[in-house]
Amino acid sequence: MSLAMPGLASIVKKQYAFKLKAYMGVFTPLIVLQLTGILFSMNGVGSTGGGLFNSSFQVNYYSADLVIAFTILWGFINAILITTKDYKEDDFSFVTNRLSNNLANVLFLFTASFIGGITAILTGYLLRVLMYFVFDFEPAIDVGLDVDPPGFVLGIFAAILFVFLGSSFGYLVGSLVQLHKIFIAILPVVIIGSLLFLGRDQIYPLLWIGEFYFQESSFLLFLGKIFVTAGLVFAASSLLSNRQEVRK
Amino acid sequence: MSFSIQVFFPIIIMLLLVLLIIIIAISTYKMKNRFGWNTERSSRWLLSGYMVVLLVAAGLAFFIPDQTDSKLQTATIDDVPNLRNAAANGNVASIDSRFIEKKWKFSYGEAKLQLKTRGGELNGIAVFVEKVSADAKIEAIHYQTPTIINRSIDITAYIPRLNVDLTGDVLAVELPEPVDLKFSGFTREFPIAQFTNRKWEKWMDDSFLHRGEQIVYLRIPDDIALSIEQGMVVE
Repeated sequence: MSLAMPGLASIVKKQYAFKLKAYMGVFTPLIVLQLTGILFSMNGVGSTGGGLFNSSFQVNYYSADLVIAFTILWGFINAILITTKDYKEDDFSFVTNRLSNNLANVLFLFTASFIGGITAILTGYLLRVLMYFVFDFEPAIDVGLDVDPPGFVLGIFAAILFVFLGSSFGYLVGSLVQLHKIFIAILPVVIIGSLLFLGRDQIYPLLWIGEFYFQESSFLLFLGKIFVTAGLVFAASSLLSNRQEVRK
Repeated sequence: MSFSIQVFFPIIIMLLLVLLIIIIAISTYKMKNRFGWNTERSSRWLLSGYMVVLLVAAGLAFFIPDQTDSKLQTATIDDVPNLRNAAANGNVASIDSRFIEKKWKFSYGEAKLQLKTRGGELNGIAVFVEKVSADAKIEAIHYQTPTIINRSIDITAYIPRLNVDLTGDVLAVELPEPVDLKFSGFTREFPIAQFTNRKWEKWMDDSFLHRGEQIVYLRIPDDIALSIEQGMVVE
């Protein structure tokens, strides 16, 4: 191996280290978004109720579910943004190729998802503390206090993986758009159009996707599903960006 | 096909959020290029500060009591008798006395008695009448089994109590003023609930609420001619 042809791993490592430093700005929208999510969550995220003899009862639930959903959305958009020209220009300062750039991006997105996932779960505590100490909210029921530490850790990893999955799709969308700007118009039309079209025939792909990922109770299977999906999506994005090189 | 504007609210909110992320991200980026601000460093400080706040909050969260309301007890639905069955089989004596809410005794000398409800309909509260020997007093017993939400939290104490009243020749089951009970609580975030035994949608399922039973058991001397208000179901 000569100096002019450094190994892929070391290029990826350098690029990743650079991106970690240069893309720190992506966490500012994350913080704003999570705080917005907390604000919205103070209204409660769910309720259940019913009649009770001649009275009625209602239970309102509070959790950071919304913040996690917002964080997944952030992961998605964040991944689109790092494929844009503004960000890509940074890469030209490196001896690089598309593959190393893609790998470094995937590593960066995973790191971002890691931070996003952990902070998203932790906002649950911030929400509790704000509601209890600042807004004098009296919780009658804490459904989840008896979660054991391993369950909690799995939950954090699950949140990270959900954000990572969102990022992978964002990266694909970003790569498509970089391939041709026309995809900015085509993608929403195709996605929303096909959902509406299938919805007419009572086919709801989102429901199926929701069940596939969000109701998988075995962590190993869940891990497999996320990694296979994200791997395929990133591979597709990588192929697309290779085409881009040929085109230019 | 008709759409109401509310259907679009989630989409509008999501689009606004998307816009928000893009604006912040791009403006951070532009500021760096145009004004030479060290946005990486300020972003790092911001993120570190935010993490510290979150960790402090996580620590403080352990000081929030599980249940701040002492009126709420934890309970299980085991060992709860079926009041209706017991009463219908003339077996009220077998019902544990802890399920007795209140007892009333009235001395009554008249030959006729009307049985009525006051303040609304019975709404699932069963009334039983047992004829007893002529020299006895009129006796009313209100039984109630616990109403439990979330499999363990007993909210029975919040259910308003009925009353039994004898005025003139009218024995009335007086229903309480209806109330809207409101409870609130924290629930685990969905990624955590997903791999624990407790499913995240479980508070929507049927086992979330265990409705207790209420019965009013009346003992009325058999020499009193009892007339029952029309529409009132008495067993």
